Amino acid sequence: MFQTYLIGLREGLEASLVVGILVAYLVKTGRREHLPKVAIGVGAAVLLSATIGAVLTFTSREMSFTAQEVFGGIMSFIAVAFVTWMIFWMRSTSQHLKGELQAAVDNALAMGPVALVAASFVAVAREGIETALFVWPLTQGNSGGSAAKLLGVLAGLATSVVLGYLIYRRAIAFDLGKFFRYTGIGLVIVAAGVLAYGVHDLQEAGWLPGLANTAFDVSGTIPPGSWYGTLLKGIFNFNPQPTLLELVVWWLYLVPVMYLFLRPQRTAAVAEPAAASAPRPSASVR
Amino acid sequence: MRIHRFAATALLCSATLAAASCSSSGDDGDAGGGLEIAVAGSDSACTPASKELAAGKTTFVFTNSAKDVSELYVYEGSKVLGEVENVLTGSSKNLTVTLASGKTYKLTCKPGQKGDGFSAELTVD
Repeated sequence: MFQTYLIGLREGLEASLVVGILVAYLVKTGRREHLPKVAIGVGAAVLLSATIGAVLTFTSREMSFTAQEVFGGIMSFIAVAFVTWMIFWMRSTSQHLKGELQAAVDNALAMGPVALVAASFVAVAREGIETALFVWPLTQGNSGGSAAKLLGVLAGLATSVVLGYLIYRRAIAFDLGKFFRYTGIGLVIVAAGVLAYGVHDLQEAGWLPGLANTAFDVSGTIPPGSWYGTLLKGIFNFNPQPTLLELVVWWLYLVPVMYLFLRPQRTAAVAEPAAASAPRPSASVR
Repeated sequence: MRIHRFAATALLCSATLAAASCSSSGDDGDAGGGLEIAVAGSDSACTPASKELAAGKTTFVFTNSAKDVSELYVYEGSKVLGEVENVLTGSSKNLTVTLASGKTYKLTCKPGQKGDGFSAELTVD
């Protein structure tokens, strides 16, 4: 039961984290009216995952392995695109929060809703199908202890949601500046991990080379089956046995994106008071 | 506006992809087809019932007796031909792949999902 608990926790953590931050952002900036859009995205993803999982389980059909990996890989890339967009969208709208540039805020939100639904959908659907494929067979109950195993995985998923909620509570307690800084940094690291994970999927599918070329192996000291390995894997997609390509892609994403995220944060704070008197600085930021 | 369109495209793409991969599962047919080969995975070994197999659709019935969660991989060179993850202690999962004649494959069990695991070479007539 503990094994299935950790699996549930791992699969649920990343989605809970991203959705938690998305919700925190909306609440923090006084846009609770958009919360249903997040709920729609999450609901649709859960429904889709459960349906695909059920169809594959109960008709004894299998997704071909390559299809599974390519699907997983491409979903990862889409998720990275959305999380990256989310990071910079949050940053750009945050620039206008203190000022009276209401039009700019409205403008940013106009393109927000569809992306909000999509971002929460992708965050959940990415691991959703895999989780569903693990959960459904347990409901068939042909082997002993299936009920306990099912209970374990559901408890794990529930724990991930609780952790997502705690992160949300902690995040909204920060002042606005710290909130954007910390959640942004956290999301950049999460996105880098998702990207590396997607690369690994495509390497397994044979679409990218270098699967046998392992960069390092610390799986002996940080076993994926341990609770800390589970947390690292669940939150940051930490792979204790990354391939060289995974590692390179992780850094290639992390360094420039982190730089771009941290740098304008400073100039924006300086540009803000000037924007009220002269329109030029805000125009140059765009 | 640009981002708006991007979001819509991405959503559509993921939906199409889901449909595409599902339809490809139809081509693959039933998991039960072909030969069944039992694979026993313990804390220290990965033992298939046979190492010389016939070409065609083969279902490995992987039973994990190790104390940790395990995984089973079938490698064709450096490419993964198939994989089952999250195989709990004391439970079994099926992995169906199509083996080609004249080739060698590597079967790897990874108890605890760590290290290199334990491997067995498979030859196909």
